[in-house]
Amino acid sequence: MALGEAQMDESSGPSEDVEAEYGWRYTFSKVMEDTTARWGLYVVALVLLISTYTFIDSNLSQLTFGAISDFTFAETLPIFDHPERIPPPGEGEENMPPAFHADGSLSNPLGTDPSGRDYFTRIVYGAQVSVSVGIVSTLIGFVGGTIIGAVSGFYGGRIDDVLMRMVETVYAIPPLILIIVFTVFVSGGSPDITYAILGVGITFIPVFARIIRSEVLSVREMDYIEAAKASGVKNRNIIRRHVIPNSFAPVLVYATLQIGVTILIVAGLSFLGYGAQPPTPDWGQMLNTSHGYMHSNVWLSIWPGLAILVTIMGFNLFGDGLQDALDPRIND
Amino acid sequence: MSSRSDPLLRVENLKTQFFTDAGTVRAVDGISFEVYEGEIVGLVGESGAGKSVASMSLLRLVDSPGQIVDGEITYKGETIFGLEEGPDGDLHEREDMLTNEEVRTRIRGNEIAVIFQDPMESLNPVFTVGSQLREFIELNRDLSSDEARREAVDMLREVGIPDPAERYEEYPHQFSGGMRQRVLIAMALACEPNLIIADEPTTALDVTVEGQIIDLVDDLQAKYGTSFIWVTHDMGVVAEICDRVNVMYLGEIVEQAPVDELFYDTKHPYTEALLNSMPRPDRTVAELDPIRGVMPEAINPPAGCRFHPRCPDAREACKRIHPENREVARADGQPHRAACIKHDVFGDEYEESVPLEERAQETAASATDGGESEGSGVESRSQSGSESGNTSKAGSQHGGDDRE
Repeated sequence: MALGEAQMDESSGPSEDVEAEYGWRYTFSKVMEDTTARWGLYVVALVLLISTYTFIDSNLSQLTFGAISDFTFAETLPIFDHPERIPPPGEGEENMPPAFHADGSLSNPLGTDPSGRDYFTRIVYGAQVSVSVGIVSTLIGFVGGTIIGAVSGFYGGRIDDVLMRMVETVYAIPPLILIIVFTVFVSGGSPDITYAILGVGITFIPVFARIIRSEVLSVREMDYIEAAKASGVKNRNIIRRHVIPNSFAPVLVYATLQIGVTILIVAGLSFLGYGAQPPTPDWGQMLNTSHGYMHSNVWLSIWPGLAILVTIMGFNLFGDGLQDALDPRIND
Repeated sequence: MSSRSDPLLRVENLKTQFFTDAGTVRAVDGISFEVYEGEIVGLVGESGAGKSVASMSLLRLVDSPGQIVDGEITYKGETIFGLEEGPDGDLHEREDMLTNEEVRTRIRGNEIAVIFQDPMESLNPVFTVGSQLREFIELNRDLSSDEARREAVDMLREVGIPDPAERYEEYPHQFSGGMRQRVLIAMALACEPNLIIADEPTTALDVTVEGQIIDLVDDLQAKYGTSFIWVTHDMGVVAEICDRVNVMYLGEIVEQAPVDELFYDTKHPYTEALLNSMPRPDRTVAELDPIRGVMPEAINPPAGCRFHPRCPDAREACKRIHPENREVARADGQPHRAACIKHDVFGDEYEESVPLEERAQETAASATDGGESEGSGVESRSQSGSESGNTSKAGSQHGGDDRE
């Protein structure tokens, strides 16, 4: 606050945004100051980059630098059923170990899976599934939870009671069971990754709703809410313009942490057979198929596990850093 | 009264209560006052007297568990709040009362605007000052975004903010307290309302800034002719800015007078006590005469006169009789009202009885004299306890009569 006063005295021209204790640029610089958070951000950026612009041509299932460009999520998922696919030299040789192994080959740096598919390619494409799953289902929970929580907290009374009891009912059911039941029922017995995403998203609505509600309960007592009411702003607009933007920060932090959890849960679902279906490469499903080969080729289990570990670590470290950056008490 | 035109705002017997688990809090208990055009009316009292609740009731902005339970609020001939007795004897909202939607779109912001106490909290921290002001203007006046922006910059200039075009783009935290209060004033004035409720607008500011803001309001008031309800606990501010004053104590208006009259011919002991507790350059702190005790809870107000437990002039009768707000004098053709039985024409009871304070001193003295036997002291205390219990019962009966 003293900072603001000092700037006031000059009262000429806008003051430096960097010095302000609000705003994206300030938060970003705060995150970058924190070493672990910075590395978290790097990992997140890398995973996002890989999943959006992979440099591996899915048709070839081997490293061909530069041949990226035009693929979409749906097109690339069944990557090994592509009609024009040229079988790579290594294919056919099942369960090849990684390149650094005596029996390995450089054309399959991480080896091949039991069907002879290049494992590195599958890990990279698995990132696409995992990250989109993590982000989309967290987004579903985030948006749904924010709306429910904000409405519930702002209006209070009966609306609050009804919404919160509903949310708590969902909250009381073990998430994995809820997701599996949802996935199986909605998909009509043929589970797919889309239903898993939806199911996980819905399961997370209660958590987000409760966080944002508790935040709204304090925000709604602020004078600017009262001022908005006194100047005749519609309740809907008060929620949209004043309540949600001001109770946003803790949920945002939670969402970044939640992306990691979601990836883990969907990996678990795929492992159990309710998530991504073969031949879609998904880290959890890859773990599932590889666990029968633990003795013959242990690397098949290690690579997807490592990928999950690193990605989740990245999101968590970034989320932690974001939390610290947004917490004014730590900012001194 | 008849010499003047109809008031801009008339409040009659307004009662706002909060229904809490601990009981009914009678935050505003039957207040009546008027605001005429171009006038600054003060609403003065200690914290918890019900000033803010009263002013929010005028916009029907009382949140649950609070509720306006009785009274009438008329603004420019329109009924903001009004009740009538239905055929079944219950009170119903009158048909000519504005709906929630009408109050929101036509009254709030457009006709009656509010300036809040804490300028630090009254602006949304995540949007620029300009965008908030512009949004507010767009909302209440039919202007395009560009016009509203121009208007917003003009308003910022009007309230004395330097470089308004540049400050427009800044966030609230980049403004000092005084500057923010100027922004809030700009916001309140932006839609050219006829009445502005200023809820302790200078309390959070330091004294020099307070002076500037008061000057600014004075200038703007002269220019726009806006009426103000100035809620404050600071008698100094009242003296400086108000035309007429309502002094509130525990949900009731105890004295109502033009400002000079109030200061030079104070009629109510509470007002007098407030004036005596004001620091002045000609008196040291030791000479200050603060009001003893704290204001009781509005949940169970004292019987009789609500001020009697703290009143230096209280008599036995004050414990029983709830004084009505009567006209006790006239000044400049305006009434001076006070709610104190001191001024009752048939106030024999007051004149004849002993001041409670003296009596208390006598009992205290006798208790210490017979200090060796502690039992007697305890006895006298328990006696007085049961006595007050009786009176409070009588008081609640009395209150019940009132309601009927």
